[in-house]
Amino acid sequence: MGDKARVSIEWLSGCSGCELGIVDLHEKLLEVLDEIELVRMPILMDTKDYVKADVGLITGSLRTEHDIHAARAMRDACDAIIAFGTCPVYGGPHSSAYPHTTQELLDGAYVHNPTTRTSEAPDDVPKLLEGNRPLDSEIEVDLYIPGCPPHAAFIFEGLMALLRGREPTFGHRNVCFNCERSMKKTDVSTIRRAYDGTFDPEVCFLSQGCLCFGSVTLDRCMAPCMKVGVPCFSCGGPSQPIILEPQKDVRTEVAARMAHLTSIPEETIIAEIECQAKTHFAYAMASPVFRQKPTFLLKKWAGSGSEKGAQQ
Amino acid sequence: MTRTITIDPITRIEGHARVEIDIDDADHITRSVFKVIDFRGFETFLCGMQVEMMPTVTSRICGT
Repeated sequence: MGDKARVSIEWLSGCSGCELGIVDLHEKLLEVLDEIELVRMPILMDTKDYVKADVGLITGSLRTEHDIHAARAMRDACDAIIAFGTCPVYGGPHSSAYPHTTQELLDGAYVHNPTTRTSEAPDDVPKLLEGNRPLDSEIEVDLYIPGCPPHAAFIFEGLMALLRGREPTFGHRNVCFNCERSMKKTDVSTIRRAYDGTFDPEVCFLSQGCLCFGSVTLDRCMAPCMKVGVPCFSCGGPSQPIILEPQKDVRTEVAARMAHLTSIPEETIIAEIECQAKTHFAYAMASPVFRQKPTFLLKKWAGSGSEKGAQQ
Repeated sequence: MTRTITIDPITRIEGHARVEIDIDDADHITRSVFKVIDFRGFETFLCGMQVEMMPTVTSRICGT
């Protein structure tokens, strides 16, 4: 027991899908448990304190004052911190609250809620922050593993690399790498939504005029969605070239690729993506990655017209 | 004397919550409250997203 690395897990604002991602290790979990000792995991154990640990895994984003307190306590208690999942790395799906004020969110849940009889938000719970924030806006992070949740193969490699003090061999491929659909030139001339008719399961969504963000999304998932007919909504966050290159943004990259494969004009595709910004930027909208790019207008795109929501 | 038992956080559930239980002199429970302390605002931010994204994004309300 003494030689095992102590691993502590804390969740901030998230869904606990990443904790389930650990269970997806299946029999590999036994191999992991030979080397680590779980000292804290709220979904599984009743440890309430922030006990000392070698590695701290943090899931969820910073949304409440409690999250800030928990993140700092974990940083103090753990030698290394892993931002585990898209929420701590980029903000996660609730990043798409970016065009809304915190008051609008509270009113939507407690005042204008058509199915629940309440009139005001509770005041004896931790205060909400003004926005949803990634983990490294508050504490230092040693390893980032995005993914919603990360595929078990990446979890295993990330943990093992950290335990052995080496660089993880993740690679920086995009989702297309594991997608079995083939890109080909077509004469499709209009953008189709995922529910518009049927799509050829062997041909790239972009070739068929359907927006898919696999080519600009980091592969931490092994591309499961495209295998079941669902285009990529970028839940793993932007790909390495997008992160590193200031002038590259997911909107123009996808539009250029799709315009090349079809006969839809690039400007039409860009306009469509901007109009659907809340959908296609949902998981990483809270991240500063998009602030220093031509996508700095994200709040405006996502908040414009009907996109902002029927209630406002 | 009235006592209050607070369990914070409740573990081995999905999500963040606490329970407060008030007990009076006769050891009767006079008030028991379950408080969910996290909030993300799905009710509001889902408005305006494409309908085809709903199955993938609403499953992230609770991942367990």
